[in-house]
This record gives sequence, structure tokens and C-alpha cells, in this order.
Amino acid sequence: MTKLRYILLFLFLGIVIAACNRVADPCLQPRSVYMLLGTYRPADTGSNGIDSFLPKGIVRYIDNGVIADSGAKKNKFFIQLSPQATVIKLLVSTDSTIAGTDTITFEYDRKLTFISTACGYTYHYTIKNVAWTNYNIDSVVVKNPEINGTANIEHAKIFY
Amino acid sequence: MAFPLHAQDDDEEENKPVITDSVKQLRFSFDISKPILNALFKERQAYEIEIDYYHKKDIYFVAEGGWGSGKLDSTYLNYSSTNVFGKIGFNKSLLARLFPNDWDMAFIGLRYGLGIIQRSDATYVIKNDLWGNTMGSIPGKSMTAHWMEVNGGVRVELAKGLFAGWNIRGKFLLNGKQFKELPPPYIAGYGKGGKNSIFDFNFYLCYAIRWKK
Repeated sequence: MTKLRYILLFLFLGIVIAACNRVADPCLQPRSVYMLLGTYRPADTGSNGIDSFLPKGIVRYIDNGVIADSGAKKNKFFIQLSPQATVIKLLVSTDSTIAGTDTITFEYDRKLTFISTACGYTYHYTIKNVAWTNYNIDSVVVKNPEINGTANIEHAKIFY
Repeated sequence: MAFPLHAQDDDEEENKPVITDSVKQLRFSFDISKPILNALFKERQAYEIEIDYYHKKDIYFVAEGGWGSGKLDSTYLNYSSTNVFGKIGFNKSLLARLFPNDWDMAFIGLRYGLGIIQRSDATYVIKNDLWGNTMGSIPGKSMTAHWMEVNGGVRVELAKGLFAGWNIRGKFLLNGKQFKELPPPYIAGYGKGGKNSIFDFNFYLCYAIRWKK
């Protein structure tokens, strides 16, 4: 019976080990990707530009009126592309006291991307085209068209 | 100094009982831990059996088989899979037999495993507070899994022909690339589909039949 006791102990330990291999894990990865816009003044160094801090920058989605990002003396703005569309229109103002708000339109492709069994799927995007108005903006340059959640990547530069 | 020690080793060798392989054994094993786990964790179901045949010189040829299913039902994904599997390999007993009817064993072994898997259509939900949720589905598909296993375990004869014992297994998926997207939630015989290496455990009740050469 001593033999049996020992092997039953292993049965219990085995079930504990197996319990650690559950099918469902919690989602610990980011499930949304963001596009990062930087604001610049033109410089002689080509398309690099010099950082331009907007006095009171506001980036707003035209489709739903929601403010994507805003702040005083700010030069980096995060926006979220719509997974249900292929075009996004933004209102960009440099200062609430100055009339003349510009519109930037990004056209993009969506790619359904698997994250993990815990987090499911998300969309990654590729910017295909950009258009803008010229009240305050001089030009918009797409530097990194792939929006895939890679950290510290600036996707487009807005020149004033 | 070396000569007396060598002589002593020779004496021990001579005193060991010589067990001739005059009896063959075929053992049928059922993993009783799986029905218990099936009852505890509804999202994974598996049944596993093992047959081993005593060849000679403490070598056992082993064939295993089974079937099962897995289900993932979360906020973001919903799909399931079913599979059958087979394994072949061998066990090498580490304990010398003390007498002809001594069939207790502690062993190590090696297996090759093959699983044939059918994954169902998967439905996904991409949650987005700003733009609203997006839903869709991915078609199901058939897959094959290949893996190798390193085994260790014991078998203890509780009554004539009736054994109990356990295996602990380290498993290594050989074709993990095809499981990068939507891996089967659970592969019976292997384990969680998305992992390239895994530890597993079996607890067997076995019955052996023996005959003389």
C-alpha cells in the first residue's frame, strides 16, 4: 500500500501541473495601434525639419468630432485610424485663438493581424496617400507608412 | 590501488542475479488522469491509451494513441478544434530486474508524435471604444502537428498483471510555424496548441499479459 500512496501523490501533483496549462490566458498585449504625427518647421536639412511646438494644438476627427489629441506647446500627436474605413479626415488647429484650421486626409489599407489567442485580432494599417489644406500647414510628409504598433516610430510629419 | 577495486567490481558483477528474457509482456495502459482533468476543465478534453511490449534487455517498444478536443471562448475569439494522435517510441528501464517476475520499472524514453487536427471557423471581435467593435470570421482548416517527447516515469505492479504508474513528458513541437496564427486551443496528446515546448503528465492504470517464448 505504500507504493500505491506514493503513486497517488504523483497523480495529485500531475493534476496540479496540468491545471497550470489552462487554455485561456489573460490578454496582456496592446490591442490597438496608434499613428504618431509630428509638427515641424521647414529647415535646410531637407525633410527632417525642426521641431515646432504648437501653442495649443488640437487634432480632431471630422467623422465623429472627437478630439484625438491636444495640448499646449506640444509637437507630437497620437491618432487612431478607424478599422471600419479606409480614409480618415482630421481637423488640425495650431491655436484656438487663431482662425484657420487645416484638414488632413489620410487614405490607408487595413490588414487583419493576429496578436495571440488571449488578445485575438487587431488591424494594422499602411498609409497610401495624404492630402491637406494650406491655411497654416505647408506640407505633410509620410515618413513611415506602416502602422503596426512598433514603439517610438513617427509616421507622418506636418510642416508649418 | 586500482587492482583491488577492480577485483571488487568484478565480484559485484558476478553476484548480480542473471535474469534471462524468457517471458514476453504486452501491457495495455489507460491514462486515468485525463477523465479527471476533462471533468475539471471543460475547455479541454482528451483520452489517451498506451501499449508497450517488452522486447529484451530492459527495452520496451511503445505505441500510444488517443483523441480529444479544445475550445476557446473569450471576449475576443471563439473557436474549437478536435484531433486524433498517435505516438511511437521506446522506454528503457533504469532498474535491473531482481528476479524473473520483477516487472517494476523506472524508465526514460523517447517518442515521436503525430496529431491530425481539424480547427473550426473562428469568430473574432476587435473592441474599439472610439470607432466601435468590428466582428468577423476566419475559415476553419485541417492541420498536422509533429512533435518529439522525452519521457520519464515509473510502473509498479500492484497485483499480478495489474500496474499503476506515471509519465512526465517534455514535448517539443517540430512544426510550430504553422500554429502561429489561430493555433488549436488544445491538442490531445500534445497540449496547448500555441506552445513550442510543453510539460505534461500521465497517470496510468495498466494490465499486462505475459507468455513464455
